[in-house]
Amino acid sequence: MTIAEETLTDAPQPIQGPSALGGGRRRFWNLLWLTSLSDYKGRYADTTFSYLWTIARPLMLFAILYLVFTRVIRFGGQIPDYPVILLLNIMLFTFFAEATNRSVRSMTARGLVRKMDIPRLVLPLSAVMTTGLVSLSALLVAFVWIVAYGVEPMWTWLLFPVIAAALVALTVATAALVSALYVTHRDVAQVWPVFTRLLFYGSTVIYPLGVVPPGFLRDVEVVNPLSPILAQARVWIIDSNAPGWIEASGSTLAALAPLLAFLCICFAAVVSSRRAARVVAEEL
Amino acid sequence: MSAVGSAPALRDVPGPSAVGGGAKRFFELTWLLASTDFKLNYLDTAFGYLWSLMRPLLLFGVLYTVFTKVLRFGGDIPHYADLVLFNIILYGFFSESTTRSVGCIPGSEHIVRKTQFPRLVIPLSVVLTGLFNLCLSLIAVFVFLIATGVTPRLTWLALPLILALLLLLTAGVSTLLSVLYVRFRDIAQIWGVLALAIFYASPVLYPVEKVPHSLQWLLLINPLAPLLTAGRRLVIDPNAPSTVDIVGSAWGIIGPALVLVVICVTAFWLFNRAAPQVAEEL
Repeated sequence: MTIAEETLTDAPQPIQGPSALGGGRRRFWNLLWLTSLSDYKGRYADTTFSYLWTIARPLMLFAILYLVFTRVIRFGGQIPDYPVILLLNIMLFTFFAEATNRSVRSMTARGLVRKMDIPRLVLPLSAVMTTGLVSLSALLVAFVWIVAYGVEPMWTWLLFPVIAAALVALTVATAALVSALYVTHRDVAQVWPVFTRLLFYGSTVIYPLGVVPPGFLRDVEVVNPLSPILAQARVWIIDSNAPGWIEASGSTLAALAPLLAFLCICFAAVVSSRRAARVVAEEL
Repeated sequence: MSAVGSAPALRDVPGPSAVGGGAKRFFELTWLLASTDFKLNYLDTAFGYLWSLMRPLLLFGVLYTVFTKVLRFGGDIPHYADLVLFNIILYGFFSESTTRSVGCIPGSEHIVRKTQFPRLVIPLSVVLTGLFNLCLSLIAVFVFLIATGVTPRLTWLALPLILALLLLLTAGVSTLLSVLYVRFRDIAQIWGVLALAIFYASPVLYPVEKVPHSLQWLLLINPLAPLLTAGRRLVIDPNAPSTVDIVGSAWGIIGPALVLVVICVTAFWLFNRAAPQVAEEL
């Protein structure tokens, strides 16, 4: 805005600068769909079996982790249905990690921001959406395995959209935050992959919250916004006797901690996106 | 070459090759590319070097905490913390060098197309950059080892032998990946997963004696297993069992050695064959 005002002092009316969301809702969705679709096609057109591979990858990771954790580390024997819990958790976490990592460079990629007045938030969102499209088919494979393993279908399976919505909300907020930070701090591209790798071990993916000893480690897990999503996924999809989030976290107050953390991420995302949206074209 | 053949008046021009051009030029080029890359990555920014050191240390911190506190593993393993840190650094060299070398030939298209130089320099310089990093990280590891009560011993002097074998393995795999990637771009994705699989399948987070009988065949085909185990025996715990003790026969060392030889020979053969045409495939 300030640049537009300075350079165009003679202009009779102020020209609206680029923004994170501006341009109307319809245009936003159209652009989002278009960039996601072209991203999707671009990613899976140049390699022959890329798509299958994207689905196979979390499955392979699961197979290896399962072997190592149950046979070598000898963990998980006392947790009922550990294999399916591990698989579901890996699927959910992989979506979060991949979508956020894909979105880091999304604002500056393709040079779109220099060429047209695109609402900036479309770019990280399309990275999330493209990953989501692939993750859905991977999730389908996981569900087949969950049924084949012998998990009884439950009415709570209908609550899966709630889990998906929470995960998508968290992923979108994080994606917007990291992509906006990347505009001014290029180190984010180095830091974020490492951070998500650490988060994989530091979240309740390979172990449930129940086995974490009380102390600093447990406090971190309780604040982690991924924890309630994974805990409820276990209760609703696999084992209705597993402790729900409120029970697992210890108290109603503690159960709200991840929500607070999520709101903080959202707030940071909004602030940084608004700032990044205006300057991104100059920071390429 | 065929274009040259059609004009008989011209003398035969040797095309680009994998190693041609003299040993001295080969080493100078490798050194130059590696040190340039190293300086670009790590010395220009203060953050760069710190970050290259922090990354394995952070991974170590999280993995060690999770494994000992949550999964309750490693309590009965002497110097478990030192073992995990040492292994993560060694494995980190292998995985980072190989991962970075996957796309290294198209990545240096600007020199491949313009100058004639031995092509093998490209993947090897990536490995050499990794080796610089490894040496810097090892300083931190040894400080940590001494601080946590591992007594320095004469066998520490034999570590370069292990590093040389690790370097050979890394160079072999890097060369193989870099030449395969030129034709098959899927390699980048496949290796991403495979490297992670190798991380768990190798005795990095756990020592060899914890591998159950049914999974011991993994030790027979993984060249990293005897290297990491030997590193542990030399540096951390001389009483630790070797892969030969665990597997129960000499195949514990012959098997991985054969795999290493096959990787290196295949890599060199494929690279040598592809080197003259590689500029056209980019």
